[in-house]
Amino acid sequence: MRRPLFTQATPATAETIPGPRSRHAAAAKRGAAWTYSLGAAPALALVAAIGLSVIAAADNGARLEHAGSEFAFWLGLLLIYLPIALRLFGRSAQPQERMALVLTLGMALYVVKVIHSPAGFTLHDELASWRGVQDLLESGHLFADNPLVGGYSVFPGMTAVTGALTQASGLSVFVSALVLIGLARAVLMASLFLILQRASGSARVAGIAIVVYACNPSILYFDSQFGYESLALAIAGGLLLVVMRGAGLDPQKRRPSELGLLSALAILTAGLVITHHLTTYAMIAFLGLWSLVIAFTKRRSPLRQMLVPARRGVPPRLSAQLARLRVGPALGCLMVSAAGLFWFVFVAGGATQDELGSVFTEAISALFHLVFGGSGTKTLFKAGTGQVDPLIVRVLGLASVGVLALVIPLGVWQIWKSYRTKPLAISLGAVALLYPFTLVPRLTQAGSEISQRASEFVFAGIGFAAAVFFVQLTKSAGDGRARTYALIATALAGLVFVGGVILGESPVTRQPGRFEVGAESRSISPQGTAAARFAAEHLPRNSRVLVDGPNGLLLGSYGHLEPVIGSIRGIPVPIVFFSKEFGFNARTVIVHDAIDYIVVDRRLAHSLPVDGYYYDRDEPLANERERPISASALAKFNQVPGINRIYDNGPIVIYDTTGIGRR
Amino acid sequence: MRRDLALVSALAIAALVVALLPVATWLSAVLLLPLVLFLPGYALAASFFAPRTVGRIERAIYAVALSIAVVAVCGLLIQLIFGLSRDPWVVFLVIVTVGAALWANRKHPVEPLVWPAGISPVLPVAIIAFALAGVIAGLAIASAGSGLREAQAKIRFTDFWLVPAGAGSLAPGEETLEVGLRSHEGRPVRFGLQISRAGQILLARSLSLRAGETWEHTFAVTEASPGVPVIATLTREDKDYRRLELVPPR
Repeated sequence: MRRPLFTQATPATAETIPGPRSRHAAAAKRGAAWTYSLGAAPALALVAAIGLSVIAAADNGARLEHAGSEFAFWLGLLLIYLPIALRLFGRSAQPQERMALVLTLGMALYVVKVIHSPAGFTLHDELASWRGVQDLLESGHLFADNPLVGGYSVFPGMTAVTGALTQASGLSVFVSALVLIGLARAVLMASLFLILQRASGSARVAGIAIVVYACNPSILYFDSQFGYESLALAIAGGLLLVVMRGAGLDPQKRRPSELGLLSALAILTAGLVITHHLTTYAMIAFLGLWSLVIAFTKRRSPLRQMLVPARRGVPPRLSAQLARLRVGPALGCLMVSAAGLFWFVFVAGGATQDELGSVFTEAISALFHLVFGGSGTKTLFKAGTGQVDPLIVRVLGLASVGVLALVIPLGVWQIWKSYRTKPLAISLGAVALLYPFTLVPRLTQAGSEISQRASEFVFAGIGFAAAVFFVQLTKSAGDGRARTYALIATALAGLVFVGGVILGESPVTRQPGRFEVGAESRSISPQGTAAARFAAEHLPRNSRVLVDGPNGLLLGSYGHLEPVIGSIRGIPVPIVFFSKEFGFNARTVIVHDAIDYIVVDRRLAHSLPVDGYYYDRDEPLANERERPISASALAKFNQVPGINRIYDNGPIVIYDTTGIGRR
Repeated sequence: MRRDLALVSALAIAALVVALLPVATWLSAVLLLPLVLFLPGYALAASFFAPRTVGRIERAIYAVALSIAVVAVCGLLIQLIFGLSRDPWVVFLVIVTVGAALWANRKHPVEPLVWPAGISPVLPVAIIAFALAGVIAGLAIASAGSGLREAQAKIRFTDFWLVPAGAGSLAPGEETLEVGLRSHEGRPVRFGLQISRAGQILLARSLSLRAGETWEHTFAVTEASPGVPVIATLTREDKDYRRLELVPPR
């Protein structure tokens, strides 16, 4: 019978060596503390830094449309990823070296995002976050309405921290945000490593699991952006560590006092709940799952005694059972649930329902259309402009999914074999099994966001399952064969990593470059920024403005205006732009939706939008348009009495519509 | 007092002093960033977790995560009383840090860190290598910034606006308007500006703007011709360039 993995010897480390218990003992231990063995980590950090330099050159080339910049981008990414992966798959690295490598990998991938946008924010959530922080700096108060992402006003954790950093240090919001999210990334990687190490009892499993975790499609840009989720993941990492400490998963350490654990748990819970909804709910789900697994695998668990009635005698009262709960997953789940419920009921319910509700209902509706036919489906690897990814890219994207689909069942089976008595490991295995369910929404436009958001949680389980499988596979192999296995695994991980980047980011936004229509970061242009600056200086704050998506982000953040989307009296507001003439519907929208300004970007008439829509996901002919919006439709405002043309920078024109209401 | 807690308290107090004095931004950042992102969490973790109940890396994780959480939560409370600005933040964070450090020192007086008798000879080399990697990564970011500026310098345009000047109304029946230009042309460019209403020229000006320069001018119009627009035309190096129209608000 094979030995379970968690009984494998873990080399003693600075993390696991029990410390001396007195000053004398401490003196006797002198000399042991700083003899870290970082092995190849410093050299691989240098290689990763060279990879970053290659990516910087590639992005500079892409901005100037130089040939070969895409190849250089992939080369740089693989220079960062492959050497670290190979070392972590190998057997010889010590736990300290593995931790250093994991941190190096996480930070290097974060810097890729910084290199992509080195001088300012370009992503949707970043500009929305900027608006929240700026409102805080100007008013001194949180909870100001955020016209770009409603959730930011009722989950003000990140706004408060960034505001504190900016006000205290005197740095700009942009630099403060880079420091904050960079630190959050380091905390996330380190805490995830420790969590997986304790779940498995093996630093090697933890290191490999992080190599696979780094393949999640969100890690490169979405989780590196200045957004509340990026910060919440770090708090969640700390919270899980406290819960694990309470659950006694590190037997080589003394258990901290219950009061200390409870206090830390309370602060982290409060911090998490006011920072991000989805991470809170994911934490509740995971802690709940872990508690249930404990309840059904440990006979003496208090939760089990609550859930499963005693066969004989009078069962103890619920209050007595609750009093027996110590800090662990069940209490953690209860605390996060209670705090999350409080925040939902008294503060954030409406905004959360609006934001998450719309994401989920759109996804479900799109899935319905996918199954039964209709609009809303999408063709994988195809942009809204009709541009299709090259064959090699499509093959890599699909192959990465195939590798994971093969590894997950093997890994989960191995977890069941080796860790049957370890509830945390079983829970992580269960999380890995969610992967196929996160893939289905990716087949629809609206569901892609859910799939993307889910990946950062699900990949923790996938990484764990894959790592357990690999370590078990190579456990009894000789050194030569183990090296071969490590090489093969590194190649496969590299494939999955490349596939993750392909699936996570469209080819248009993967690298910076010239202006593209309806293409998120690629549509953030100097002209748009200049228009936003003009609006901030000359237009009344919070004026309502009709504008395309990317320029709306700039005007809603830097411009301090309020972009309007949706419909009024059953008329979709983008109709104002699409109609050839300024007719009854357009006038109804302007008057009844109290529109103050219309912003026209004449470049929209040059091509179809990459994302499939110009103004709003629900606009007429979204994702189905075959010709760009007509230039004459965009120019019609010049002839409308009551509409004043007040700003022009070439591509972007701003019209004042307040005369329409007065007429 | 425990050395680590004494150091944390000293850094917090130094941050308070720096916050009160007019100092360079870099010095302010060096001392005040840890006050927000590390010191309160470290002191709180020291009071929650006795020495040797958690490892060094785990303690560092708690230091950052607890700092972030405590700043987020306390931001809600501070804004109710004072409004969030630099002074309340700094004073509050120093109180949390020093208070938690004193409490931790009372509860757990044993030193958590073992001072090394010697350092592994490999460690300085490793530190230098990591620092070098950090420098290379920093240079990569700087290079990307430079590349971005180079690419943006090729995009040349000029902002042109004509808006009501807001509260600058001079007299009943008169409205103040503002006309302005901001050059993003990357070099000095000559413009011709003309403002007219009902065929009457209100302003004609020849302008030369350097890269990044802004020119603004306010002028009054009467409501003698209500509903008749003010028209601003701009030529760039003697070619028609931009045209704006505004009916002065009544």
